[in-house]
Amino acid sequence: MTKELSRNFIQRLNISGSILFYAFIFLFLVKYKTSLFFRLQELSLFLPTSSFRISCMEEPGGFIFYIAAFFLQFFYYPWLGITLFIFLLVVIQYLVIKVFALNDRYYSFSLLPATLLVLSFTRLDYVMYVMPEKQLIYFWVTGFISLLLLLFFYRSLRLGTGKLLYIFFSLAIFFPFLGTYVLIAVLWMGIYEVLISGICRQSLFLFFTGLLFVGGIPVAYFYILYETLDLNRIWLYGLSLWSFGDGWQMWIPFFLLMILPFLYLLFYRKKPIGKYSSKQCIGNGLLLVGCITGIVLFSFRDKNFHIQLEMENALVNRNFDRILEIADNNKENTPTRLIILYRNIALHRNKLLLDKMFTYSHGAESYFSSVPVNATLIGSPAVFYYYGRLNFSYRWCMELSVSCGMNVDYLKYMVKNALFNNEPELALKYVRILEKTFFHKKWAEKYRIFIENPDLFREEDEFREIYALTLYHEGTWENSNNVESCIMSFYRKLPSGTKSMLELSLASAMTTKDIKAFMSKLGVYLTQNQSFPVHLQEAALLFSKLEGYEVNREYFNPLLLEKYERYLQRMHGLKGSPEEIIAQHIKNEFGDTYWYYYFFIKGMTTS
Amino acid sequence: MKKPGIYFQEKASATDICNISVKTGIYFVFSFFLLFSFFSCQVDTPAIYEELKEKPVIYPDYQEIVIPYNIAPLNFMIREEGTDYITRISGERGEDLLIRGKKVNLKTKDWHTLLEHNRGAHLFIEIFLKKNQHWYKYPVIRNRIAEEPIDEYISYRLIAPLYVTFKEMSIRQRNITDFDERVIYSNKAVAGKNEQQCINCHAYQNYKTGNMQFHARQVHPGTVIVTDGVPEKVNIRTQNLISGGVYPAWHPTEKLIAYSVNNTGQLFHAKESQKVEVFDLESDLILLDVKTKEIFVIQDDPDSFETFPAWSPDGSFLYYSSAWYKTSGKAPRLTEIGTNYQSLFYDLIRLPFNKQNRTFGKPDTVFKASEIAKSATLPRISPDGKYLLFTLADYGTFHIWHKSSDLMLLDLETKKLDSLEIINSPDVESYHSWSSNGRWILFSSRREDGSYTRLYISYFDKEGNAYKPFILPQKDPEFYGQLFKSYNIPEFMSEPVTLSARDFANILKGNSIQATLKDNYLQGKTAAENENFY
Repeated sequence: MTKELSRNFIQRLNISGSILFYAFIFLFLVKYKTSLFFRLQELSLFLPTSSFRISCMEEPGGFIFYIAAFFLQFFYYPWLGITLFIFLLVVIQYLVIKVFALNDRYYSFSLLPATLLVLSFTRLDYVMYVMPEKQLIYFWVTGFISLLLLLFFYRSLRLGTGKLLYIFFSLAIFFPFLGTYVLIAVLWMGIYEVLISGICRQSLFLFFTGLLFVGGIPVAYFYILYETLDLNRIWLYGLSLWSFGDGWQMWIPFFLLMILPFLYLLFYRKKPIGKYSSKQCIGNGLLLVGCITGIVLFSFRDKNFHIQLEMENALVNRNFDRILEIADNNKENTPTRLIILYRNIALHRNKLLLDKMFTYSHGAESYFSSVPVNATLIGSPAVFYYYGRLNFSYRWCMELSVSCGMNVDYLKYMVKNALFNNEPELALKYVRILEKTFFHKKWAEKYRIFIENPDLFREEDEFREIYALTLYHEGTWENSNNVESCIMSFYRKLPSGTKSMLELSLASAMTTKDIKAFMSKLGVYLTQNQSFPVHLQEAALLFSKLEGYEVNREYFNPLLLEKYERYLQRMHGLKGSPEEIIAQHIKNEFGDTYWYYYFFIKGMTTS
Repeated sequence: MKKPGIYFQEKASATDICNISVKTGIYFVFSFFLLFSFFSCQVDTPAIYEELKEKPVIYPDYQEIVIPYNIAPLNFMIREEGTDYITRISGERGEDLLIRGKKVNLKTKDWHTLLEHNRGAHLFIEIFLKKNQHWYKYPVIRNRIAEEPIDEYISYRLIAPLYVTFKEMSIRQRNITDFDERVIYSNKAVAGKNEQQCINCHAYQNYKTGNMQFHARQVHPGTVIVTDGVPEKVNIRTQNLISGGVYPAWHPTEKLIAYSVNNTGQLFHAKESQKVEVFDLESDLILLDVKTKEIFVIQDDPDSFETFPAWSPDGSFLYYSSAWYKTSGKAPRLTEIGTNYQSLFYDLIRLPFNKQNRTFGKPDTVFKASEIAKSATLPRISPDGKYLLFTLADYGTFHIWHKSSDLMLLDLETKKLDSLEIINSPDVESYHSWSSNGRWILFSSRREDGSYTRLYISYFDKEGNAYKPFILPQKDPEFYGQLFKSYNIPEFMSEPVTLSARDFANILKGNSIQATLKDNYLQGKTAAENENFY
């Protein structure tokens, strides 16, 4: 016999379940997605100015965009952004319960929207770099809230003229602000009416009239206000149309969210019989667990993606030690080319590039993404900047801002590039924009001082490091469409430069296995420096053997020479074995050497 | 019945007193609020102040300029630190406007009244600033109001400073007597799935919009040509031409459009602050008969690049830029020209044109820029036919990327060259347009920050003197600071474009009329594989 439970107990249980759910979300997001949220807000921009507001409102649904952009910026402090996000999820839950009069029996179903919205964030993959509206996920949050609010007030009206007028005025007034969401809301009003009031003349009339309004009012708006837009898509503005195509998978939570009210309306119709039992309590609990499990299982968990995010966030603050710490903690992971580029930037800054770059894992792992991405689309502004190719950094900031929208990250690089290029007015333009943001004002104020006092900037470590990479003569035209190829090619062929550039030149020669380029610069390096980095020794020994000449072993570390002898013996011993076996054996003992890289890391394609 | 007279109320109740008190209180507060609002709206200049010697920093810089009497309000902001600001704008013949605040936003109607009353006279701007409880006054800013009006409309393309990627593009028209801006056409109307439509090169016949044209590329490509108010879509590209029509020039009276056809390359500087270099690999000139859709070749010398056609006001000459370059053939054309782009010097040439039989005469060099190792482009003749305004830079064709680019003025009668120092800046000056009365020059400049193109207007008097330019006014003085787009191809119009964006979209989505090359003059010359131009 099922146990009957008191209403008080049920309510307390439900609330406890909610608290548990939101606590889990908070901890999950803080633990696993902080870097994602921080990066998302760096790749977006909100300005509390009339120009920004007006530009948002150029298309229907602009208000949703504006509010979404407003909320997204709070991820500057991820815990704050997450708290705010959870607050909105609680609001959604409350509205769902109120609008659909969700019985306690079905309480856990009110957590489904929150689950889907959390998943919409946690499922984000590399697509976040190329999607034009980074606030897209927040559109769904604010759009869904507006949809529920419209339904909420609709419910309080009686069937008849009042509801019809409400539908008409909702569309007429809110279409410019909410775009597609008000259309969806009106569709749901019609469906609500048919399901709840039953199929009668009045409800059907309301439904079909609503459909007519949904079809006609946007068209009317097109002719009155939006004639520069595409009439064929007038019903879809507010949904961010770009990703209908390759990136359709990221829309799955949204589509599920839009059909959830169907489920709730079925519950609405289905009046509960009898009292609440412990079985139903267990059912609610299981659904709660299911939501939590779903979030865990369906979240995007690609390791490289999260490593890259963390590295990029560390790069924002020029925390090169942190980048190396991340790299050290993930030594066994096969990296993407971009991770290698970030890693090498950090090594170079810490003067460890030629000692350690080949001690890490190698690879050219794909970017597992719902849309095609590559290192250039993701990281070219930063990579070009830290390799001293400032015009190219600026170029890609502009290109990507056109295709993906202007954002804080690009603005910062543009300020720096303009400063280096001796374009103070241009730098000031971007600084003034950043000064209007809530969270990047301090950064902007710091760089304003540099603009007004260029001497101060020249004393900065950042300036000196980058400046040392810019002392080259403009040569023949370069193809800057592929960030890694461009950098490797430039540095490999570098005829002259500073010590810092020479390091990168040797590193590029070793990476591309260009013996000639390496040997032509090794002597220069040795005359300029007192130290003889490990990888240079390794390469020198190897290349001299391959090219058939002797080296003066006095300059080499005796331990390294010993290791080299062991390596040669090992290779000799494995002669005749299949290459995979040799590679495995060599990796075990000499995987942190250039010798292993030279012979066994092949077919690396930059992407 | 009570006799008339004054009656004193019997002893009032507590409620009555309360009611009276509340009512009185409300009236008092309301009156106070009204009075306060009234007096706080009243702006007056301070009676006591200290005179400053240095000029105020205002943005935009609307100081010592000549302005048309029908221009939109020159709203500006005061870039000085203070706690309060009062600005008085007045004319020689009376009327003044008083504005409080750091941003000086003027009402259009009041502004126009002030300017209208002071046509031909001076306009004064007095700025008072409060700091540390003291008022200070800056030296008076004197501007002049010209007698002559400016054309009410201009049009331009708004684009991100172009590299390769583009997304949203629109051609817009702005009423420069106020702040009204309307989209003539936007590529949002025909968004492609993976491609965006490029639109460019809007041009009008003699400042009228009944005859106009612009190009669309990639998505629904073609040229929209409006003839006597009727739009058509034409495909100017034929098999034997380098490209479709590029830079257009309507004949002032005939239904003819001269075009350049260009095969253009673009490369990026790794280090130079000019960042981008755009150059032609080939370019020729053609003439399109708008009625018959027939194309005639004007110039197609394979060793010279002809571009930027422009008609004289009477239509008897066609001016253009031309550079001579013979490739060695040892390297691909892009590589060779890309390496030697700094030795491409364009001269200004003109061809006599006979309207009756539609023939061209022999070319005549108007300005040999190559002789002084310079490059001249974008020739535009003043409406009175006396002056040739063009752009001069150190080399090349695409001067918007050349900081050395300046406007130059050639007197066609005296052959005197004016370097227009008052107009030019250390940064780029390029694409220019004469107003229909020849008294105003509209041009592009990157003087603000070296990267974003803005529009400037300069007065040009009957004696041939130019005056300090001023930036196109905007309602919010901070507008340009937040705009990530550049203004491109500014053109004066004496009337607005009346066709709607929707009309243009519908035309572009339809089929195009194929233009035909009249002679097989270019037989054997095939179109470039990758049509690429800006």
